[in-house]
Amino acid sequence: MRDMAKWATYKSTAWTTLLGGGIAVASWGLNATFRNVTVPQYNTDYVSFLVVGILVANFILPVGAGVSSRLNPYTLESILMTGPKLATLVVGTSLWPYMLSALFAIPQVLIGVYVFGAHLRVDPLSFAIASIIGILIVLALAIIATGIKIVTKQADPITWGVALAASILSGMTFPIQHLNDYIPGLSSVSWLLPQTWIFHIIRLATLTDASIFDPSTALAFLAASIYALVLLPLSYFVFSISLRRAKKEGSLGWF
Amino acid sequence: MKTAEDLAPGELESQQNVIHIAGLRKSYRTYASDDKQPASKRLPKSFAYAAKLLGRGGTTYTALDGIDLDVPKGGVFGLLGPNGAGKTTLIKILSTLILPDSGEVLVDGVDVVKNPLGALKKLQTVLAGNEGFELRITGRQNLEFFADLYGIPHDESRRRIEELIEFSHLENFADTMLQKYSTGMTRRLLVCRALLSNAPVLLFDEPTSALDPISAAEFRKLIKVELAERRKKTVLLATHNLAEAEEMCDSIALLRRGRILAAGSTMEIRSKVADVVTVSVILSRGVDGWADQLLDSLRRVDGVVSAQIFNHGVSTSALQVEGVKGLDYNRFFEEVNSTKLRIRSLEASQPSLELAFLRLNEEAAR
Repeated sequence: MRDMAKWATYKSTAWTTLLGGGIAVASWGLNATFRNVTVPQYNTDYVSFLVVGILVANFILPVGAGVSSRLNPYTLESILMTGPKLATLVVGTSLWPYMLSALFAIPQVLIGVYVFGAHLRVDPLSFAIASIIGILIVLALAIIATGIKIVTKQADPITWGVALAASILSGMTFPIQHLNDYIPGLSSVSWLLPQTWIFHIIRLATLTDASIFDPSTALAFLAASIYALVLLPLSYFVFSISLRRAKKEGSLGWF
Repeated sequence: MKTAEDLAPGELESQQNVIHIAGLRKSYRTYASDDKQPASKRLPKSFAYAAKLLGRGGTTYTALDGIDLDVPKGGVFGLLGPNGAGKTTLIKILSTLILPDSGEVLVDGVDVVKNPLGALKKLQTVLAGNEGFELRITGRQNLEFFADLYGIPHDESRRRIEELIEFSHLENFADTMLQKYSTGMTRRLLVCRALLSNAPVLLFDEPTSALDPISAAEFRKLIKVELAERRKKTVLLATHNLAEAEEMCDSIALLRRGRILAAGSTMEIRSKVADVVTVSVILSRGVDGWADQLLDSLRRVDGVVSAQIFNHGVSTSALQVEGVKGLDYNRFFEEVNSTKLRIRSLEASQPSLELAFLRLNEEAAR
């Protein structure tokens, strides 16, 4: 509520964000229309592939940005003195940015479908599970980034790395197989990134009508789940030791 | 549950103390900037940064050096000391924001290191200058946010926030954006936030800093009368303002370079320099050169530590003499009478807390 109330006070920001989202999807859609190619990996066309990329970029990835931008050292002392649980902190700080980005994702997808003719074949159960796995992975990465930021104060290599990996290697705007055209074998590196799996399982769920009970789909979902299962406890560990170190150094309130 | 009769004397005492600190030590690693190091010892910047990240190198600065302190339940306890004495470090250790190197810190029987969440239920801190409020929402919305973090149920938090807004006289501004609040109003909202969880102990770090005299006086009254006397909170007040401490505190501890110089009631602290006496005499003004002559002769009187004369009125001067026990009053008055000037008034006073602090500080420095 606090975050929403604050955001609503920046009226021009709200309007420009809304317009910016529409303009972005329009430009991507136009771009995709001119490059009328198929994407055999998901048995679809490039417009549809791109629209789902936008969906993930707006629906899943901003969750992490919300956590790391709000859980900064400046506000951390005041918040920690209330004695909250880590889960409350994370959910509380990421809820509004997530809701906001989800809200913007809906009209963008509608424009993609009805204006640019994207073909979505959604399996609701698979989509719900893929979204949950994706959100958990992004949250874990954001908590790790926040933990590092508590110690380093300025440098936030994880957030930078997440953004860079998402934009270049994870296949947000193009099928990762094309990476091999530039550097042979680069797509294999891409599969090591958790973001690649987020894009992959959401595309399976929204472009191919893939059922979670289908063995090959289940395998992809399992691989993504392993990332979530490893990253979540790791993020808790990194955040805890970072917090302890900042408390040892007495630098919690520095920023 | 033990009754007071069942408890051993030491046990009873510890139960009456809401804060118990024993052997508390804290040091920090500091890193001098590259420019201050000799060229031969200067590391490449990336190496120096890596050493800092790894917690290696640098020099150690001791902020708290074996603090033993008991704060009694109820009333206002002052933590006094100059900048760098270790007050804020102590407050932040109590608030679970800094981990000590060693020692024991209990708040109402709860160990702040072993059980920080439990300790935060007993204690809340008002850290001026680090409010953590959101400026673009209202005071009420800020309190609602923190009430959620404290885990207070909605109906209860609404009732409590309403009561606190009234208590802090912020009724007319509760629904105003925080960026329109004055420093005094923000400070009062901070108190509201600290009171949300209903913790029995409240810590204040330099609470009246940056406040104008009227707001500062109101804020002192809020702490002393409303919080300590009416709401029966135990208040620990860190300040370097000795007058403020003298006005508000029932007991105090004097800190210097991470050590406690003295602790007790303000009377007890003053009694540590009870041998000091200040004599103020208002005299009619003499002819040129009389003041220097008088000061010279007074400084030779046994027991006189310092003497000064300054203009007091149109035709009067004030003589202020600081002496120790055993001051030769006969010689003193002989010298004053030798000026043939008329004595308009005379007053001998007890040492102030400021004087006590300065004396104890000097003794510790020797």
